[in-house]
Formats: sequence, C-alpha cells, structure tokens
Amino acid sequence: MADVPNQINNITLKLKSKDGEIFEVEKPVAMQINFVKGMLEDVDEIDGMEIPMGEVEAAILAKVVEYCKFHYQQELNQTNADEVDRWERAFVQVDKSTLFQLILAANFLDVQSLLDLTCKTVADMIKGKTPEQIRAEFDIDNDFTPEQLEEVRRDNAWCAEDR
Amino acid sequence: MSSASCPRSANLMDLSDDVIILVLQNLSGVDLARMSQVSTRFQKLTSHPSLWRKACYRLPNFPSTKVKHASQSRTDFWQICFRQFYCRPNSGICLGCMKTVSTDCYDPTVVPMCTFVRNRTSESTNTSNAV
Repeated sequence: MADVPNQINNITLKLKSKDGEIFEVEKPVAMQINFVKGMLEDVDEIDGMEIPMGEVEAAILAKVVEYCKFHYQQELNQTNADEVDRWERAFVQVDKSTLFQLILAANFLDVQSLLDLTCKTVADMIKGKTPEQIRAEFDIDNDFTPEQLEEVRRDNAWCAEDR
Repeated sequence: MSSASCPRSANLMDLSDDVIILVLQNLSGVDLARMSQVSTRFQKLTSHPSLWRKACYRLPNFPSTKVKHASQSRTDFWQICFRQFYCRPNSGICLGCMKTVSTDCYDPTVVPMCTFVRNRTSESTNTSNAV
C-alpha cells in the first residue's frame, strides 16, 4: 500500500447492513474488516460503492464499526493496555443475544481480534459453572439418554469434587 | 432481554463447531470436563485434543519442555495427561503407557516423558499441594 497516495485514506466506504442501513466508515477503519478488504481487492473504483455486509444487521454492524474505530484510534494513539482492556470490557457488556450475534458477525466478516474478545467473554460466562447451570445459562437441551448421562458423569467424576 | 434494536436472537448453539472450539479453548480442563456433560454436541466438541493440550500447558506445574511421545497419537492423550496432572499433582504419569508413574514405564528410547516423571517426583518433595 506504500505507493498509494495519502488522501486515499480519507475515502469513506459505505457498508450496508442486511436491513439496508448504510454506515459511512473511513477506509482505514473499514479495512480492519477482512471481508471488506477482500472485496476491495477485486474492485477498481470504490467511490460511492455500497458494500453489502451479508446477514449482519444494523444494530450489530454498528457495534462492529464501533469496535474497529476504537482499535484504529488505539493503534494511532498507542493507548495503554489497561485502557484498552477497560474499553473492551465495557464493549462486551451487552445482552446475550447481542453477544452471540457479534460472534457470528465477527466470524463472517473476519475480524479476528473481535472474534477472540467475544469468544473469551462467552468462556468467562461458562467458567466455574456446573453442567446444569451451563444448560440454564445458554438454554441448551440435555439430549443424553439416562445411560449416556450416567456414563459421561462417571467419566468426569474426577472434576466433580471441590478442590 | 432482546430489544427492538436486535431483532434476531442468537445463543451458544447457533455458533458453528469451529467457533465453539474458539470459545472452549479459553477454558481450563475442569471447565472442559463440566462442559462435556452439558449435551452430546458439547461432549463431542470438548474431546478435541488441542483443547486439552492448551489446558495442560496452562497448569502451573506442567513441564514447559515440549512433550513429545509415542502415545501422543492417541486422541485422548492430552485429556488423560490433564486428568493425571490435575488429580495427582505430586505424581508423574508415564506418557508411554498412560499410567500413573511407575519406574517400570521408563523407556529411554521413547523421548522425554520419563525425564519429567523424574522432575516431578523430585519437585513433589518441595511442594505441598498434595490432594
């Protein structure tokens, strides 16, 4: 990208959510979304182009853009790690459905650091819970037969006691 | 919980296997073992060897040297390894036969394991985290 003139970074891209909302995003911010980056590789003229963001809806796309903006700024300003940590913690304070939609979006749009952050957040929700509590937390059906359940419990008896 | 701003609802089961593995790789072996009892899908996903390998290397006393051994080809190698280290922190495990340490297992031709059995048994005299 070294030979590209500087002002190209001032271009804004139009990201279009599934429900038709347009997000105008500065190019370097949008380029953190690998899905967008990949699309632009095949296009010569990006001026005014609307880039469809697959199944990602406006509410979620807004969060993805917010995340990318922060990370772009953070790299420019060399924000310290504690502050980034605080910001990210606040960023993932969302309801469960939003969190999982963010994971789906980060995976589809290929924003690795956002995918890592959101997956870690879900892992934190699992930590320290019993199988029963995990089912309740994430609304998961217990589909073991009584025999299978007996067996899987026996196999994992080693972790049942408190240590 | 869901509001007008997020019309679609999503939960853990909506994620693909690959993405669930990304979630699970942040868990300790104990949490993985609990997760495996949640449903048949999680039982399958938590058996992924890379998850247990990561969990082993996060254990405070796990040898930092690269564990290379014949039994690594077993899919449950790292899972057994974790369980042994977690349940019996003061004994070793022979990675050749996957049994709790016994000097009979020592086979110098099958790489470092038994060196770490030795390391661990010598460590155990200093540490008091016996179960």
